[in-house]
Amino acid sequence: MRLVTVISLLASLLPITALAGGLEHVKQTIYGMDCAPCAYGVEKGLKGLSGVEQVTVSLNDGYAEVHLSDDGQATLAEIREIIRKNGFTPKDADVRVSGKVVQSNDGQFLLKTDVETFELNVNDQTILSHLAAADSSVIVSGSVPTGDGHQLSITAVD
Amino acid sequence: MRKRTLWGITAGLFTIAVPVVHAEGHGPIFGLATPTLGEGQWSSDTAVMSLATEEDTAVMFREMLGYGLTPDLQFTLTFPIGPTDDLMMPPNMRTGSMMAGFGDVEAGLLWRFDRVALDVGKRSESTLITSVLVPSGDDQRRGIEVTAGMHLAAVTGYASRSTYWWVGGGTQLRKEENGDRLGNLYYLTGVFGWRPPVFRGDYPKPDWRIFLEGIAEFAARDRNNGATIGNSGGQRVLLGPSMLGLFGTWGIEGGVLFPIAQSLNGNQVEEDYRAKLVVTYWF
Repeated sequence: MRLVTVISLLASLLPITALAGGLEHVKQTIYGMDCAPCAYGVEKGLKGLSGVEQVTVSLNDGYAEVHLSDDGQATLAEIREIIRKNGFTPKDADVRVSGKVVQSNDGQFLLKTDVETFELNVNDQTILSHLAAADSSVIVSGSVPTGDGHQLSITAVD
Repeated sequence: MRKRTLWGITAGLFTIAVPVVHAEGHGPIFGLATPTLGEGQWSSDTAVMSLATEEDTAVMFREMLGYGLTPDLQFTLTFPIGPTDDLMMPPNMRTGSMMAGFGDVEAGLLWRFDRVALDVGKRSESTLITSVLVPSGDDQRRGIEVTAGMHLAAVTGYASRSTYWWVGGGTQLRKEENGDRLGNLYYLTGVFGWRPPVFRGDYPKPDWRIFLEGIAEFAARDRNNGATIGNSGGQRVLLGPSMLGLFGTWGIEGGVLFPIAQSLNGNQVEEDYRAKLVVTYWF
């Protein structure tokens, strides 16, 4: 009986321990969105993504700000697809992502989450040394340019 | 007369709602615009339109449903609801550039074939509109057999958080049967919109905008038993204001057009004004 209980507990922990973070916050710039129903459509679509806790849409400043929970599975690509499906154009995004830093064979730093991988662009030597020393999950802030790529220019590492 | 006026106002409200749906949130009520329903998004416009002449006032109610097949392709279905008082309405008119006239069921596709996101809140776009018209209700209008028809239009425009404009044109063509045909309609529309600074609060605050709309209509003569009817068709140029308010998933728009030039064939009664009111819901 004890064995069953222990196995059950371990099994219940598995999905948590398997997670390697993900998007925590996204401020996605949007071009072409001009009306309240437009903002409503974007807001409704984003709220339907996994792990999205709060969405704020600004028409005047042209962005959608998304706060995500720790167990969310939403990706930046999904957020941008929602905006495209509403007829607008996603531009640069400011993101805050937690994940594991790994180095590819060609020396490129990558930030891996359970659902997507970002290529890290680093100019700051302090940040670079921080990444090189990271052996567990880190939280990275930076910007991802327009397009389908996942090149993340880092501005800060926690 | 009072009853007719009441129906007119109600119908005008319905008609206004329908154009709002087509315009999807930022457009005019009479003129052509470029719709922007998102993929999988629905809209419902309930409109009432009133048309007044020197002798009488006519009223019509319509409903329009819109569905976004893709961000740039929309399906629309408009149909009359409630009683239609068509006695004084020109039998070939439309109740707004993007909506069929009284008695017609209209199914259409709107293809936004060009869209450029210029900046935050700014875009330019162009749309082709095509639809088929199926008569409902009476077989005849003013003694002329009503037949199926089609509507084709094109519009280009610009939208931002402060100003808007659209220019476009279209035609409504009818099939001839047994020598009867309602005259073809050709039209041009132009719209300029402005959102005053006091109405530029951010979402989800209410969003108001004001339009100046103009329409030029060129209606061909009707045909009856193969003969052209002299007392039909003509030209009109109408101009007037409209106002659109958006509140989250709801919209309300009202407007009125006044003729600034009319050249009607024969001894047809001249038009005094057209009024419309539309209530829209997005879901």
